[in-house]
Amino acid sequence: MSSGTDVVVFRVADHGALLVTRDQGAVVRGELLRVLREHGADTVEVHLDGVDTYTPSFMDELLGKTLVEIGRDAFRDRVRLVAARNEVQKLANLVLNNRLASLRGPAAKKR
Amino acid sequence: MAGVQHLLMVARVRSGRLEPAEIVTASTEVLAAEQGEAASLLFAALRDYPAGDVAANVLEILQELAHRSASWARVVEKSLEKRGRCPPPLRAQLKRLLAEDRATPVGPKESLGDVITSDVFSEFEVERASGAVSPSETAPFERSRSMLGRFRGRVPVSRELTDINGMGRLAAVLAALEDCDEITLDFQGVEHVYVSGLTAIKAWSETHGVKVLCVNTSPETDAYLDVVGFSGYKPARSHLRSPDFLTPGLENVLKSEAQDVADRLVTLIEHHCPLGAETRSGLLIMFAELVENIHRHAGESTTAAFACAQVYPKRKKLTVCIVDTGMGLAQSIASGSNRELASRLQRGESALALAKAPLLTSKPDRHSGYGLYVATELILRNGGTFRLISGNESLTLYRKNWRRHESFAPVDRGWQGTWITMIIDLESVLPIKDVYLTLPSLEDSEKEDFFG
Repeated sequence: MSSGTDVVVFRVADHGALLVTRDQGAVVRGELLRVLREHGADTVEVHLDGVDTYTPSFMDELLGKTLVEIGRDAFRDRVRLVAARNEVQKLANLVLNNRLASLRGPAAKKR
Repeated sequence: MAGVQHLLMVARVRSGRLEPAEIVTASTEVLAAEQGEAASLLFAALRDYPAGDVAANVLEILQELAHRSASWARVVEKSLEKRGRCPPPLRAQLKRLLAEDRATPVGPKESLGDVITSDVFSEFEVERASGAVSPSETAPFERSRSMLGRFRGRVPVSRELTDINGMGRLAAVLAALEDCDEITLDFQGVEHVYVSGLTAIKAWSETHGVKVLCVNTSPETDAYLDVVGFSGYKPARSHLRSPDFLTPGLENVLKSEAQDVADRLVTLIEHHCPLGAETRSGLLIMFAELVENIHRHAGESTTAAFACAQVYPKRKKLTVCIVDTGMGLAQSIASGSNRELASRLQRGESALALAKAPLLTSKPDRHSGYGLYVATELILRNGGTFRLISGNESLTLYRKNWRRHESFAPVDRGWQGTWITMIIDLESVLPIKDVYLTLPSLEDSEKEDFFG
């Protein structure tokens, strides 16, 4: 994480309590990317708590595609994920790692 | 790993290091987590537990289980009887608990949902237990040509034709009548019908422009037809329609966003039967994913897609039907941009098996494809039943005696599109947290922690 930068908080819950579709994920991703652009080198803390229900589709659309768009290093450098619930952490890590594997190449096997 | 934790609990019970109160908690946790093998070991350990108050604790567990689900209590009963270690007081208590369950009143006649439920679920159990599910068996129907050259069909509707077991038979009948201008559904002698079959008929009739006439209907059938909303059908006796057990109508999936359909369905269900937070989330996720699958995969040619739910408050059951008349799973895979998946289909792999597997999607990316997998996992862990018909295949999933059953069967003249019917046990949780925590990842993916 970069040092000497401000932290901008991005609360996913501000976009709804029921976030389940890819379309919804795309809208929230657009907002997240806008915040990332507007705040230059600052760290953006993405708070995933406060949302009742996530789906893998939404999470992939929001986080997975953000990682693809800005790249792994920039994602790790500028995005800090925050979630208290284990299953939310698992879901977020899952879609991000799947995206990383996908970026590495299509030849790998699927489970 | 939940399984390991439960085995450790077993070890602690065996070594006498678990307090009686903890045994109760551990047992219910094991069962709630659907760790069938661990549960069996735990009960075996309880048998040997040296403390004098084991029977009292087992009774407490059984009371808890009987409260949650009689079928669980029966499992425990069988387990203890098999070991010949069921003390007489416990046996008496079990008998009383199970007798109470069997004697649960189905309610007065006006409580249509309960009357129907007591029929449908007992019959369903018998059919699947005997292995007699045969979706390819065609039900009788007539097809004739009028003097004006128009085709007409007549289908004698039976109760069984509209329930989850009748999906294949009904699909075959409707496929044979696609060129008809009009079909008559004859409900002679039928008192009860189910939303799954009627919802599918509704979608089929709208897609093919077939007029549906209903004759010899009972008051109960009138109520269902009214709710499902057959165009031009005016029920004469819809006095039995009650918000207590039916959703007030079909959800037209094509006219709403997936999250709105899911939200409305769950709100309605919750209105009739209180839901725990996790089950509520599970239902929302399942409905949203299945409806979004229709939006994304059914194709632009889809003209009808509906969702309908029925709650059986006293039996704590929920039936949900989600149906579309789009391209179906096989064509979606064949025409999708994931060539590897398409070639596996060409090599003869089941389209339904491919669609159900995690991380397989007709889209080119390898990151997605959890929707149908999550839905089926939720139903299996809940103890419910899931049946899907698409094209010429059907898939049935359920769990019995701790074992998962999965069967694929051919469907003669199958369903154009995708037709899902689910039976959910509202006494058991829909464990979305467990499903998420055990979601498989790509084999070659790293396990980076983005929260670190």
